[in-house]
Amino acid sequence: MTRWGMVVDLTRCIGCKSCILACSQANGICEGLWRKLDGFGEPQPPDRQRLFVTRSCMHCDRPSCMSVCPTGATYKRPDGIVDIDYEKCVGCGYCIVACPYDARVIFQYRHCFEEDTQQTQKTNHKAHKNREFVCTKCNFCITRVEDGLKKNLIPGVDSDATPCCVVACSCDALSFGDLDDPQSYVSQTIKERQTLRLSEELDNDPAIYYIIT
Amino acid sequence: MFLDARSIREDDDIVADVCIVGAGVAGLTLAREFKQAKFRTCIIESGGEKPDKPTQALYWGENVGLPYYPLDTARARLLGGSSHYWGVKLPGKGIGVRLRPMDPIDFEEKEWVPYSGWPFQKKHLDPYYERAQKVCQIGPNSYDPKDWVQPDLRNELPFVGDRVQTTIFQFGLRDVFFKEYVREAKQAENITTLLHGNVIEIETNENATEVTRMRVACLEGSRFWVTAKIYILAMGAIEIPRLLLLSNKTQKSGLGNEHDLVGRFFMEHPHLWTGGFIPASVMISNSTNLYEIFRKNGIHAMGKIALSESTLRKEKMLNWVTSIHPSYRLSYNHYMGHYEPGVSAYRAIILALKKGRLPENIKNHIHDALSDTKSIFRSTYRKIKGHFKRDFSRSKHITVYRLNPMVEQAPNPESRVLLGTEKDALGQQRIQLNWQLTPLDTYTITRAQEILDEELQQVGLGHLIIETEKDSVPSGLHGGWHHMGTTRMHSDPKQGVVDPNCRVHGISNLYIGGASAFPTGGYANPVLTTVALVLRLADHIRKIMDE
Repeated sequence: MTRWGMVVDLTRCIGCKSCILACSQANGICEGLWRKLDGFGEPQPPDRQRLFVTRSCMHCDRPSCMSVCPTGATYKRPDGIVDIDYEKCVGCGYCIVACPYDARVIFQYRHCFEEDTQQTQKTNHKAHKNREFVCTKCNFCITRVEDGLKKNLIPGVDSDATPCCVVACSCDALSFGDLDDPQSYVSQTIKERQTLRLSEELDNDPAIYYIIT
Repeated sequence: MFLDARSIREDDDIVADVCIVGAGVAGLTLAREFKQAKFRTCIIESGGEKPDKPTQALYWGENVGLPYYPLDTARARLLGGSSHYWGVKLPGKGIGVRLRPMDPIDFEEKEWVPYSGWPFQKKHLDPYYERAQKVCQIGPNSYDPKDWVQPDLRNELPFVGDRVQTTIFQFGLRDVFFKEYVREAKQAENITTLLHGNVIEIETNENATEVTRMRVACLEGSRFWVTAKIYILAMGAIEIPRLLLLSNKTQKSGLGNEHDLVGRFFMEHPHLWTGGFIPASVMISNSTNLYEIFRKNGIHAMGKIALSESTLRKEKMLNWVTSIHPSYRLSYNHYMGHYEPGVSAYRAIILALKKGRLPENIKNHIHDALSDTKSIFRSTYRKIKGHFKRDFSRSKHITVYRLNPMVEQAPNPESRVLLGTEKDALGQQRIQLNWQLTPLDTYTITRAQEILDEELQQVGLGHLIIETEKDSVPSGLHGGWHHMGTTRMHSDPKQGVVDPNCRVHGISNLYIGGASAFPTGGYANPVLTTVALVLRLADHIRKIMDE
């Protein structure tokens, strides 16, 4: 089986927001809607090392959002990606409350526009019609991954088959791959480095691993 | 060739002909120019191929002036430098940076701008701008809107007269520097790049007239020396003055700081999200495609609105430009009539009553409300219609634009980089940044909007909402990560740190490459001018080495 996942090396993240920009650009949404960057206040002396945490949907193996969805719009694919069927979603917002990672948002047309950032494009309203007023979130750039697989590319290795945020990260802080493949870079990294997952105690089994030291 | 400086033994002496400190945009551009040369170049880079927290934390400093970005987030301390932080989304291409040469007036000494002027005119730098365009891999050296318009698709706003004009910015990809040029530096046989090496001291002869060698320290590992014939500092306008001030064994006030100029005149481009442009009609709103990021002949570009040179001279202002951005919030407010006199007055009255008091100028408000009941009824209808926001969303009425001005900052000796008391992991004093503006800066921000408003109204294009005041620093004012001016260029050693060749006054073999040498900064993003200036410096160094 395949289970797509991600490793985020926080020792390499300098908070440049390239991942957020790439996500925004690829999905036609304003920055920070699906992928977020958290800072943790002023770094203290003597070392003054600043920690950034970039996060999005954790693509949990036991997703809280899925169990509360009244229409079955949220579903887990065989490859581990948690996705939303926009046709079934009624925008009730239960999943937003249930998600412990603040990863979901009801999409509105205003989310195509950004206040106080450099977004300059007027967007075509019709392009977003199918997802307006329904719940949306990161889906690991599912189309890129699937299209890449059709071309015999390897997600996480070939950039054309890899989520945009990972490709855009100039510091190689993000990596993507198959968690079930022991030879994949992400599996090797998890094996060799000390990693943690956010709110592991909730037993959601997220697919995003963080390296902090 | 890359070499990990941590593997070099204590007190070893690495010898080269030219030593460049910093492998960011300026350092990499220099390295490219030297890769075919007969002399050996050594680049000393604090970071590695990938970032690490302890190295990035060496940038940490204290902001004691106007609110500014945390300094350890304002530059990337690794190969490629600040290009890692460039963040303009280029549709269909990736992430990049705005590029544009400075205007001719930016190089002039202007009597209304103290300390202004370069030692040469723009036409002297034009050949280097041509080359810089190629280095940045962008289009032709043309910024005339006429070369970028496309009839019926992208037209200029029809300003009349010569007060306001359209100007063009091009965009370059950020990968060019931190991928392609890093790779070139790695492959160059005559260039050795020392990674993870931090220059902590510039050693000179007894009279401080010549640099003899540089002390390099690693966070984990040894301390050693690098000796060269020529030294070029290319670490940005904050770290360069820091290193000069820290190198104080022979000149007690810091190297090159005989006249207390090192670190002074720190300049940014004050940025602001403010006000709004309300077009007179939907037709005008729909004809602003030139002012979005567009692509022509494979080059991404964008139109902005600037003041003309004659306006700057007549009004005695700093240079100013603004981009316009479709705004959902302003468009919604406009749709709901918030900018109509009647609705505005009605809202002011209701707001005051909710707070249990009467509004100021109640007579005027009542007069406005009664004389504009039509807009109040329309707004009320739209509000009680229910789900009005959804109704608005579906109506596609995005017709109002937010302004994002970018302003020249007047050179100001009190705006400066200082050494603080706290020390970093290498035992070096950290930075204090005291960013300050002058009354001319704040005046320009508001007066420029007034002029644009007058012009828009005169030709019936619409009007502006102006939110700033001439005599105060607007809230939300921020920088653009454009660090300039801290080792300014001037022919007179009493007025500048470096001479017109970018050589530190009084020191025969110490040069500075980058925006810290800018005496004035215009409004254009500094990257293209930095690259042009560095190309000019590279020619100068090559000539010296050939001799």
